[in-house]
Amino acid sequence: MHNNVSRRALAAAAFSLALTSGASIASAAELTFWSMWNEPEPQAAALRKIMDNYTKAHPETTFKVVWNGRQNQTKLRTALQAGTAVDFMDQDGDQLAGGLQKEGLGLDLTAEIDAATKDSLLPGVLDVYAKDGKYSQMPYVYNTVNFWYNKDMLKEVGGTVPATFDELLSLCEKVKAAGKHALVIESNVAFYNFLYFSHYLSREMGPNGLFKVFEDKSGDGWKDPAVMNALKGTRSLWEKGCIAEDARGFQYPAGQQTIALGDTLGELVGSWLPTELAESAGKDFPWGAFNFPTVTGGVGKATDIEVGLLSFMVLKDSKNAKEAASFLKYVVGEEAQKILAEEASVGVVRKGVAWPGAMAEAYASAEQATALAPFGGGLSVAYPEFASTVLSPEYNKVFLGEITPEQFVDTMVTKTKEFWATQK
Amino acid sequence: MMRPRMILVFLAPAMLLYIALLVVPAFQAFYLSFFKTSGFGDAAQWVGFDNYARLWNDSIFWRSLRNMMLILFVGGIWTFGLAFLFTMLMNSGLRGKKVLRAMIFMPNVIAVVAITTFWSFVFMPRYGMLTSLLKAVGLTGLASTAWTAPENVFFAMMVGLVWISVGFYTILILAGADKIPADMYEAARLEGASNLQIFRMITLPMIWDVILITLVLWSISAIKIVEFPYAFGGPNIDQNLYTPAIYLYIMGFGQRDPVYALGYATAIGVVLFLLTLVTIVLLRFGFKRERVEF
Repeated sequence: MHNNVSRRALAAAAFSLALTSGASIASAAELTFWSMWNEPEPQAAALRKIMDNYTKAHPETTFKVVWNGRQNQTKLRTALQAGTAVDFMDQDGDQLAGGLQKEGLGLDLTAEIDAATKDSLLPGVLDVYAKDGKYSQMPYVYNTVNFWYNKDMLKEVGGTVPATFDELLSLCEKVKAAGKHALVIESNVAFYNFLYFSHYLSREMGPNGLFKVFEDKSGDGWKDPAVMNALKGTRSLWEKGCIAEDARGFQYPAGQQTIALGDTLGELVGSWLPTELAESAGKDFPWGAFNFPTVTGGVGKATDIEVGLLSFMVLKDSKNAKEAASFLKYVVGEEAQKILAEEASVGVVRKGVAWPGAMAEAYASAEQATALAPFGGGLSVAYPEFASTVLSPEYNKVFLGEITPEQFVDTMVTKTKEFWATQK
Repeated sequence: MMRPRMILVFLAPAMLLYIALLVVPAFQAFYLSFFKTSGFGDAAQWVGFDNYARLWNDSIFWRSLRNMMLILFVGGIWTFGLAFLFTMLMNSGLRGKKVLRAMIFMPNVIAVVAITTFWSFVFMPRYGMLTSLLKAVGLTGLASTAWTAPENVFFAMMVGLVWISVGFYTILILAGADKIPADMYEAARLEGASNLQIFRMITLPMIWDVILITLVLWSISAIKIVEFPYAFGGPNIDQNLYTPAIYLYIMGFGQRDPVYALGYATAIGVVLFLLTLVTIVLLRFGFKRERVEF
């Protein structure tokens, strides 16, 4: 009898153990994450730490990471075709918007992002890549586009931060008089140079001005006087000596190095510049950042900024979509965002989390932003082929003085008309 | 003697791998070029010859083709001209031939990225080597030239490309020339032939088959060239440096801008394949000569 009872008790215990372990197996999830970082990079180390912290708090969730580097989305394209299961990934928001998101392969995260999470983020961050009010990206790193400059040099030449484009031209005079160069460019990086045009046009027409121009299917949008003002205004930076003539030959990163060398005041570029120049400029370099100034007669504000966000995306077919979405919410939480800012030296998307010292003014720019647009005004997200093969290279020609503004307008009218004629 | 059936058995694994990993994907690529697809698993849309028609009207493709032709012909003339000159000089009884040969070949053992970084520094405005040199000798006007500005950047790249290629082709041509019996050279010298005459009358005809092979190799590498111009132009390469293979990469593999026109990119690949084929056939026929036995 005793034996029978013991056997029954043992069987019951075994059964309940099996149930419990079964239950724990069912809820355990190993999330497969394909990342745009390379393993030795500080950003990868910060993400690794964030994942470890998450696993400590949620032991049922572990991570398997593939560090792919910047070609992550392209590698993922091949992997998805081969049936590889990936739960979530990260990439530049612009690239994701024109890639996986456009193809409808991202999970709709709208329901997962509650009001509290939304309110905790810097203004407009989630909406930059929203489509019809739905979110399929979770931005986690924030880059602003500003004029990045040497504060000490600005003081030495007796200049102040320009609020208008005319003030910027006057500042150039002061810098030139001091025997220095005001601005520098990288002649081979057309999408950096395009920032001058997209900003100027935005200051002329307000946010989305570029879309208004391009989406006129007759091509006549380019004949808007604001376009000519933007072309001539940005060309005047060369004509007035803001940018030295020999900068036409700077190949990335030669141009930006002249800032570190104390030869040039600044450059219009993303907030990654202090990180890229950390070694050559030194950690105490007096970095400052100001927004593209307003232009006479324009309706755009200086606080309308262009951004380059890095985002996560949960794949639509992920078997662990819920767990992955929970993790993404954790990444934009205070603890994880502090780790990213402090250990990876990047700007982050959460309000109140301080950005690394050199980027302090970029944080102010993000906090006070009245409108956000993707890098270069966003045309490269919505119409990547046109932006990449026509608009950006053609603008580079006019900016570098190879063609006239009038020739640019004529080309764009023709090419835009041709583009829309081929769209079915 | 091994029976033919046995040879087939031994060859089968390699042939199967070759067919599965090269021949089948190549045919698939031909097929894919008739579709419009991003490659993200979307439903590919049959467009027939549309990708080819678009290519025909694509000014960027034609510019890339022009650049490729300049590399093939202008770059080829400089590369082979210098390679022949070095071969001639080294076969003229010059002392330290082995050291010179090693020095000429040296750029080929260095990573392309390092070489292009060096050349970018040579041509860099304001602080570059060439600018400093020109300033030092008082040529300030020339020193202010922006060698890597859009109108000059292609030829600046070509200088570096020729520099790196000359060594490789000199070594190949020299290897062929070394097989020519030394008494032929001695006899020619005794007869009073100059170095140029020796090269033209003896070396060149006797290594004709080697030259044909080097020309085929140069043509193939020039037609599908990516790495040198791409590394020279940087990750955000200027259209002035596009070659068809670089354009294929830009259109098919999503760089800074998310362009994923895989069908179109594949059509460029097919055109490149056909171009290579036609060039090789033309070279084989154009340079056909009676083989010199020695």
